[in-house]
Amino acid sequence: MTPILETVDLECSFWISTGMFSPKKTLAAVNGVSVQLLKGQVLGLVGESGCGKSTLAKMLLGLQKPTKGNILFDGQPFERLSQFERAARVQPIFQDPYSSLNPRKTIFEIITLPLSVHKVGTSRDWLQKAREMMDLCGLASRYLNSYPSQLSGGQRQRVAIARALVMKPEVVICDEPTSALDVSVQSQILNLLMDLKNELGLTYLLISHNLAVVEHLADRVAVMYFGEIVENEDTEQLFNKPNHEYTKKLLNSVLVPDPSRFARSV
Amino acid sequence: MNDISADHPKLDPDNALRSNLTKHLFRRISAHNSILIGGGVLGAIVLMALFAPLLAPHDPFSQDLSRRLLPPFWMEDNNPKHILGTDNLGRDYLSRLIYGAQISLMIGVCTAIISGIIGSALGITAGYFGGRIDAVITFIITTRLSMPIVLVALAVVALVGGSLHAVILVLGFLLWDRYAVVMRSATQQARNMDYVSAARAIGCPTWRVVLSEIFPNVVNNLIVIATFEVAHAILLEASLSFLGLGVQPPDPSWGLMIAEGKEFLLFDPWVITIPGIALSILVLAVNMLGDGIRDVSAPENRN
Repeated sequence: MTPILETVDLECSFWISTGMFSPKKTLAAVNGVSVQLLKGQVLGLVGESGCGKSTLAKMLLGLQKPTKGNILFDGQPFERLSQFERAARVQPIFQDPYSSLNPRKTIFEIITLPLSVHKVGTSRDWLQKAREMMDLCGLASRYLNSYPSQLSGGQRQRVAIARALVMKPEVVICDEPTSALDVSVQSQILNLLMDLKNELGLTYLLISHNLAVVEHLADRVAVMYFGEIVENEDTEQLFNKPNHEYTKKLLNSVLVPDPSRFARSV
Repeated sequence: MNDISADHPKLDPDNALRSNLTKHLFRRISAHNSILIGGGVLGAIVLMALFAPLLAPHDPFSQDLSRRLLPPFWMEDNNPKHILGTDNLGRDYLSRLIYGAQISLMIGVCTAIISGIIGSALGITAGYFGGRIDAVITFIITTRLSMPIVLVALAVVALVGGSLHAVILVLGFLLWDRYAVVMRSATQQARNMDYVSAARAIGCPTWRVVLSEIFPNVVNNLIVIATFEVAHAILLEASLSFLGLGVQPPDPSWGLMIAEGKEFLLFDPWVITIPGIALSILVLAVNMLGDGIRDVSAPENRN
């Protein structure tokens, strides 16, 4: 089975100026990353803040040019696709639903923006489509003419999901889709994401530092550390038998609900 | 549950939300004193300027040397035909004041529009693209900031000759710096929001990202600065006219009226007081309105 999205030795480095007279240094945010997303699967990507997860996501979305290496989409190099074609196939869901929706636009305008940019259908179809997507994402269609400021965090995230899915992409990059939400809303959004995946046959790259979420949802997990993938295993394997030192540390850093019981069981 | 919904059978939450929003905005405006006062006074001055031919009791240009420097109504020997008196050429002062509002307002508004277009284009470009483009535009802004406005305006107007158009163009091309600085930083902030990344990930072309994602979110800054720049331009026109290089006589501009009155300052100070007060009230009204707009539009995500 060929992976739907694959990176080969992907690298992205930034020049950092350290002063007028000292030479510029390079910082490799992403360093030789090779991961594969198989169709219909969820790849979890975990790691501490600043380890390059978001830079990787940006490159997969075409928002950041890799300095080296390749991204293959269905076996074809990603650069050969225009931003338009990429956009129809890979879409993001961002972390903070308070900043990912334009406060000056109505929900209808936000959800149908992809349609109007890609000139799909007429404005009457858009209304139909917007209602359909809102229905699919569990939003009442009476919010069609509301502004984001009138919605709660969970509702906003549903709008963001509707916008990401309106073009029927194959891959969705979820960059910490729940970390800005209340705990009670988090599970609703995660369940919605999983339902949509099964219904529409989506493939997810799930970036998170909530290990419980990743364990629950991901089929495979890649652990990123200082710009490199240090471990890339099946979820069960990784959580039961971590190989790399960093993965072990990461797993040990998770707080358990009842430490005494945890200690006994180990 | 059923009883509650039966009480409001026609409740349409969608329309309710919308009208609430508009109502909310109106409430905020009507509760804001400086918008009401500033806007009211400015509106009155605009109406006065628009209907000047109907309101002015006399022709502002007709001279009558036998009635020079008649005092205004609060002084002795006033002439009831000339409520605010006459100037040194016997022209009715009230009529000149009313016609002068036209010129002051026109200069203020036209200058703010020209400089607003230049400044926000530069500022948004610098803020959105960053890097080298930002460095170049920042350099242009610093260059502009290092030039003394009045001196440059004087030099240019002296070169091309003073006229209304010359003053508007010169001020328009000089007063864009504040727009550029503020729009640049506002754009830098907006550019880093996720909705901009989302629009780019959708495949929006750059012009569309700038016009439909960034611009609507920085435009309230533009409106606020524009009101302040209107006031600024009106004052600068007054100084230029006072120095003899702005609007040329016999056109009545408030600055020019002050300039023409300076010879009579010692014995007839009201010649300067009247246009001076008018100018202060106009500038104050515009500033209050700008202040109020900033207050009402400031809490982000409110509307």
